[in-house]
Amino acid sequence: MEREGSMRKIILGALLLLTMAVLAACGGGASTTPGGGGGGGDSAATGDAPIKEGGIFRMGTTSYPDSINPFVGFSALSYIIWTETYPTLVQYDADYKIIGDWADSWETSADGKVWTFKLAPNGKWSDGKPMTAADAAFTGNLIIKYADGPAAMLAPFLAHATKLEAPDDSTVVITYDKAVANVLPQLQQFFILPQHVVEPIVGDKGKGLKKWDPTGDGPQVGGGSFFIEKFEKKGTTILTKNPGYYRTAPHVDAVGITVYQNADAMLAALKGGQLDSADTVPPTLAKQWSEEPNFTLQIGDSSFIYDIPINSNKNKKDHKELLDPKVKQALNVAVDRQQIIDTVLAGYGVPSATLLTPLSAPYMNTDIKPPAYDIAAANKMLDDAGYKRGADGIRVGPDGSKFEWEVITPENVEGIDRLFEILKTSWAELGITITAKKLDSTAAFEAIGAPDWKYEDFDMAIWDWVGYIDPDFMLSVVLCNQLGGWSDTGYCNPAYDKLYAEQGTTLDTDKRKDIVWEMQDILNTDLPYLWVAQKQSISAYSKNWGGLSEPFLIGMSKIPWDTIHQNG
Amino acid sequence: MSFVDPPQTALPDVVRPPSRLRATLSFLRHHPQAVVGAIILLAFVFIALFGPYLAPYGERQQVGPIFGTPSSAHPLGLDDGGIDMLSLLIYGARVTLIVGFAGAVVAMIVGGAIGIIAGYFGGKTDNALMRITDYFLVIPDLVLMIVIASIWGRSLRNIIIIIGLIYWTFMARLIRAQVKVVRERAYVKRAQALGASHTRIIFKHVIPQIMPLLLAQTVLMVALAIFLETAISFLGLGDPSVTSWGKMIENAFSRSAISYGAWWAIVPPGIAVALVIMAFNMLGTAVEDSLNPRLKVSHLSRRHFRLRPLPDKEDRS
Repeated sequence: MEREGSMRKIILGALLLLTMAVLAACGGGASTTPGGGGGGGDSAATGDAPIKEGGIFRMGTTSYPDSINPFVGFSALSYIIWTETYPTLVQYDADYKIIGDWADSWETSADGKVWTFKLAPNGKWSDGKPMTAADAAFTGNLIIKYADGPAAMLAPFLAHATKLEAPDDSTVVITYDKAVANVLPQLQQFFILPQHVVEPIVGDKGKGLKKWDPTGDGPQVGGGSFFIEKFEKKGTTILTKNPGYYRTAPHVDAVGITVYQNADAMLAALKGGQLDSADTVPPTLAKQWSEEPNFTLQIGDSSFIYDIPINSNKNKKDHKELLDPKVKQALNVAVDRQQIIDTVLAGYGVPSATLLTPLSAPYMNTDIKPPAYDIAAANKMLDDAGYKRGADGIRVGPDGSKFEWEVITPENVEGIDRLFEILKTSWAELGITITAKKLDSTAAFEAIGAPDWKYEDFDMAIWDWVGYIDPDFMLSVVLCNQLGGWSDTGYCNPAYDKLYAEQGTTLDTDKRKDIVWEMQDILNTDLPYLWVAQKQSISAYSKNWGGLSEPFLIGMSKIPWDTIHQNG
Repeated sequence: MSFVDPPQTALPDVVRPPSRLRATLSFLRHHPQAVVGAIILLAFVFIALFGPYLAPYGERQQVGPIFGTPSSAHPLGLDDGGIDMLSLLIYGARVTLIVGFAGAVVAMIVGGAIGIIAGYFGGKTDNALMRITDYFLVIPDLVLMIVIASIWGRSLRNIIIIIGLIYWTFMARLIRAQVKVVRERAYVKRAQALGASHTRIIFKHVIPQIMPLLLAQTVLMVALAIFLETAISFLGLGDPSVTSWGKMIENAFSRSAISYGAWWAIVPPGIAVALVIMAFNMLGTAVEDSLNPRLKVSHLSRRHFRLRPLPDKEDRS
């Protein structure tokens, strides 16, 4: 039973990561204005048009909200919906810096253990009841109380917190058991729920929390800029403007989110006028859509990275050559990142070499550059390391085993077959044969841990990774204590673990940055992962709409939906 | 043009069978679709055998942009990886045909063995085996296929086994019925009376009698197997490291070739699959027509539904 429990945790975790994919897919940097170079008359479509209040903004998406109960759901769209409909203390701004959401200001005690938040006044839940600090304290204490039970999914956002207090209606005090470096990024996902709605349903030992249906008795009671008017898991969900929102009201009256089974159908609906925006444009179609006169294509950074986890467990049974950093370095040089970007991502990507993306600035170690693709150099590295080719041209390891590896390829990773084929072709020139073992993602994760989370069997895998803005979680995945948890490499390095603990309690950004950079250097030497390419997010929206040209921070902030407006 | 009548009577033991060559020629003359089917098939088999020498480019060689349009250098354009479609089509022929043949052979061996055992021994054995067959028969193909492919993983071998698993039931039922007929023939009874062992009777008397039916069904089954392989690959459950026609269609579809307007990435493999399946069907039905004794005289044959003997030649159109 215990094993089953932890497996479930892993799966949920993996899905959480996936969720962030969509968040990030909606996130973005600069927008492209098609034909901007030649015409110059397109500016009307972006920021300069007069704002027309009202209207319903119709979004299309290819993912779906698995549940709107925060104690149950974990999909990207669920997080987006909660971000819009529940207050959080803080949020990200367009530059991925933390700013206030419900909290106007905050301060920390000298030892960094006590955080005091001053809340914006006059907020009302969508049923008209006033929002007070008591709601925040209630929600926080509820999560802490049931952290090992029904509130487990929300517990990480209040990790190390011991209690929440509301000395008055507009002050929240959170006490931690130690100084925590990433309090604010975590609180960005601490959704504050209405006490008068949740308290009656808690039930014995919190059992009612998992069964809670926020739209069970009519519309959800929300406290953000919107509340859920109507929820349809795989249909259309309507979010209506909350009249009691504590900040400036959004321009639109409502947002409709419609779930599509595939991107082709969604784009057809966008073109046909049934939608105003589509959250994903397949890379292969991006060029065509950039030429559409009535639509704006948005291209921006995302924290989606393709990676190649390599089994780094010293107790690995065979193919011990993969434990040799020299072999991994040779492989790293033999990953044709540019071709992968051109083929798999149709050019919409950036080569990457570390587990963080520029979105995590300043924590991404910019000294680690993606190595240039060089088969001759990689061959020389392997020759120098003493790995000779056998009669059939395949290299042979010290234990006599051939360089013939099995690559686990989870089926739901977009473009993974192409990526595998490119690797196979490149590495064949090194005297290495790889075969794909395609599995669904749950089975793939189990195959990586096999047998029984000892990480002894697998050679390598190809997967994708969607990171958060704060580096803490991504850095934690390669810790020794994540073996059997999040680890997908079997990697364990006590020196790295020590630095991780250190960065977690370093409140000074510059000092924390130095530690995080050093950790990335360690990973770049040991290479438990080869990092391949960072995908850019591509979305499209109608030129009848504006206010979306800012980086599209959906799911991390209320800002994007607050600024969407019809062009007058 | 001379015209040779095939045996027209329901009493085959009175008419001496024509010589093998004459029989073949006569068969081909009366079944022109078999000739067409055979020619198409031979062409594809040739392509499959000599694919690497015929293909203008490599199987993984990127020669241009994603979804490059058809041109003189690339008559069928490029796929979503910038690889020459014509070359892929040629490489794909091999995998598609191998899976088709192997899958059908697995079905033939498993289904044939079970059909013979059930039909020959009858009684409880028959009952037990047929209930197992029924059980497999009612499992929906597609669901079984997806489940097995997910559990065992995606490889060519597994696809072949899956196809065998799905189609052996048809074969078993058909063969069983035929074996039941053969078993009651006088010469089998005589062999039994002389003390011949079951093994000897099965191999010496039963199998030769049902062989034509077995072969004809296998040919038809190849077509089904190719269709199933294409379907499995299209669902993304195929072997990721080999090129098959189904995989080509899946690749193109999953990379939005339809929205892109890249018809050349989907249509040619589709046509190839259709052609091969059609060819196998033409050949298979023709062989079946001439070899399956039941279809000669019975109401089961659409084309030959006549009260025999009739001298009318129109019935063999």
